[in-house]
Amino acid sequence: MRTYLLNRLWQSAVTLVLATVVVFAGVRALPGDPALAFAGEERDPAAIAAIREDLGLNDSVLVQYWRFVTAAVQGDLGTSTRTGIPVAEMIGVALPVTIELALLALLVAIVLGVAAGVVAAVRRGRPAEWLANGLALLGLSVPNFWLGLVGILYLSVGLGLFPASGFVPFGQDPVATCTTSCCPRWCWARASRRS
Amino acid sequence: MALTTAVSRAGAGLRRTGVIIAAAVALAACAPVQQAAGPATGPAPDSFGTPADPAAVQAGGTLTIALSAEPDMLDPTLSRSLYSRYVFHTMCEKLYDLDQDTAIVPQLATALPTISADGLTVTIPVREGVRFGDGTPFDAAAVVTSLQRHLTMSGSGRRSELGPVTAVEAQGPSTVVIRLSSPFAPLTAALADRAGMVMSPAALAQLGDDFATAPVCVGPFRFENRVAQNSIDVVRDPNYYDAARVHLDRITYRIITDASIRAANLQSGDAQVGDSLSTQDTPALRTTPGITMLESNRLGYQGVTFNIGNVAGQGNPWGDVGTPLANDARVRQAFELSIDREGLVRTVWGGIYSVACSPISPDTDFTSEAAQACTPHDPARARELLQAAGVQVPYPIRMITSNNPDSLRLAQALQALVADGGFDLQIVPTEYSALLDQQDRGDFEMLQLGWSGRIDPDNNIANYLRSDGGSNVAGYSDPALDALLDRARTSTDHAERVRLYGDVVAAIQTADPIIYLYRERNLTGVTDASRGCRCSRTASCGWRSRA
Repeated sequence: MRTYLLNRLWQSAVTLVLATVVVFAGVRALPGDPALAFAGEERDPAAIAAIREDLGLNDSVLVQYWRFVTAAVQGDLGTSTRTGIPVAEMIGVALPVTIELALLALLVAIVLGVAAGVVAAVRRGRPAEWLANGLALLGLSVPNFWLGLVGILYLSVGLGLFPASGFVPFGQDPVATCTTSCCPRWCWARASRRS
Repeated sequence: MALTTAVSRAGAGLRRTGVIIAAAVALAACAPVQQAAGPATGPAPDSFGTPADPAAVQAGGTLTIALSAEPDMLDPTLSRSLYSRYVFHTMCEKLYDLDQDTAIVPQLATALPTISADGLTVTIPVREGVRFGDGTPFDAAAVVTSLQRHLTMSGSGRRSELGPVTAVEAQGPSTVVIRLSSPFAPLTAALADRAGMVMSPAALAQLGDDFATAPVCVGPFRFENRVAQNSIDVVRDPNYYDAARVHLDRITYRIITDASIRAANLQSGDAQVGDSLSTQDTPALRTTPGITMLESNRLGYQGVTFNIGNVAGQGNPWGDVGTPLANDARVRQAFELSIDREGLVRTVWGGIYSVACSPISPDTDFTSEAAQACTPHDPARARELLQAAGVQVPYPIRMITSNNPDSLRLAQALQALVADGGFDLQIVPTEYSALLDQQDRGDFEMLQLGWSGRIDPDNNIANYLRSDGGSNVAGYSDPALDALLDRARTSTDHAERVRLYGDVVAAIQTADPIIYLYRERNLTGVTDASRGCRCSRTASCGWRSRA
């Protein structure tokens, strides 16, 4: 068991290292000059040179990679070049929301999916099974971004049942969570897909 | 549902800048906005919004604005994206502002600058008794600190906008003196943009390069919170010098990149303002009860640029590209003659955008008849010119263009149009950053891109067409045009500048290194629940506009 775990451990370490290499090299393999894209409309040569210096683009790729890895190991994921906000902070804000949404979506999916499965099993060969299977197939086939858009149009704009966007934490107000974040946009699409 | 209230900042604006007439014009212009049923046939009259009736204004509440793109750094020195202006608009006042007629009016300054006879010393009187969002006092020294930061900070996006500034000093608490090495007329206009925003020296001392994480300026609202890729919140600032007239408690900028979702949020009432709505949604929104569309021209343009002499990339001497398209102005003139701008705008943008024939915005006071001269659509004449130039017809041109759906639709319409004039346009869709790279290296024959525009014509032309312009990717060099641009830049006589820019446009249209096609319009939807929203041409909407 211990050797198994150790084996797994070094294999994951190699995977992680390879992942950093791929991410790092992949970004640099993209066409175009990052300093140029970053400068946008205001790109006189002096500004571009300053951006290169700031981003450390003048150093060799190996030096840049080493800097990226050493900082990441120490928990410093850098700051967003676009907004100037530390990346770790951005993840810290977004991750709990993502997890909450995923759990709630899973809950809805399980309830609807199990219910549909039970109906299909109990009413085997009857119209109810066809309906359940048909809905499941539809949910699987329809792209969820489209379903989300249609949901917004009919449920928010048309019927005014839900807000069209936004998020309220579950702990703060469970009902609002359901109406703002879960039902209209994400869960409907996900739930249908999983059902 | 978010709480919504109406707000009015109009009273202050009217008194201070005397734009009652302008407001009346806007009021008149508002009525026809709702009429257009069926396909639009032309741009709607400009409408910037009307002031709310002060009696109907309710205090408090949150306003939600659906923004089309995420602003970049909320740091006036480092910001490079136009969207940051939307947010700065409510929290960072500038030395100067623009009114509805795009005229420059004082904001944190108390009067327009006094320029010495030799044009080298610019004196700006600034407000007294004003405090920053953190409660620290605003004075001339704070203005100097901000300007110095714009001038010296590494990565500053403001350095080039400020021109040949050699020194900035405070004389007493309420006078700022800027010294120049040569006269520079566009300076005042630059101070009506991000370069004129004044940051709190205390916040700068504390945050340094990380100012963007908690920016502090003078404004009706102050920064509260930002969730990347999601929202930015600003709250009412009790320190603001005119706080009694600020009625909202909070403004939430919600970033919603999809235009249809923005429109949906507007229709469902989740957002009270939606910016940059699509031309496809606009006709329906114009007729939707409860929503008013505010429409006005942007200051910039969209156009095509030819490679005239950029053989070895920017920074290297211009050379001979060796094609008739680069060397014979007649071929480029023929291209312009083949373009039916009205038809182009109608086909691609439903007639909602306006045509553009020159880099000078018709909405600024730098415009003139000469500056708006337009080459007519005449494909027969185009073919004659091609024949006279002795080139192969149809003449093949490869155009690189950004690979987004809108740019491609434009390219295809252009391709169909110029075929009549004797051109075979080949479209090469290119990823945006690769396109920027190619244009700087000179690896293109023709490209389609635009410029967001500034108030002063110098910022819209010199950078692109002066021999030593920072973005002169065409590799264009005409000593006569350079001389004209220099005279126009250094002249401090407005009438003379207007006349000179008319000559500049004539010179550009003769050589056609850039062909201007159309101007985008700000398409902002506002729900009736939030009366009093005003928009300015620089793509910023809010409750602070003086106009």
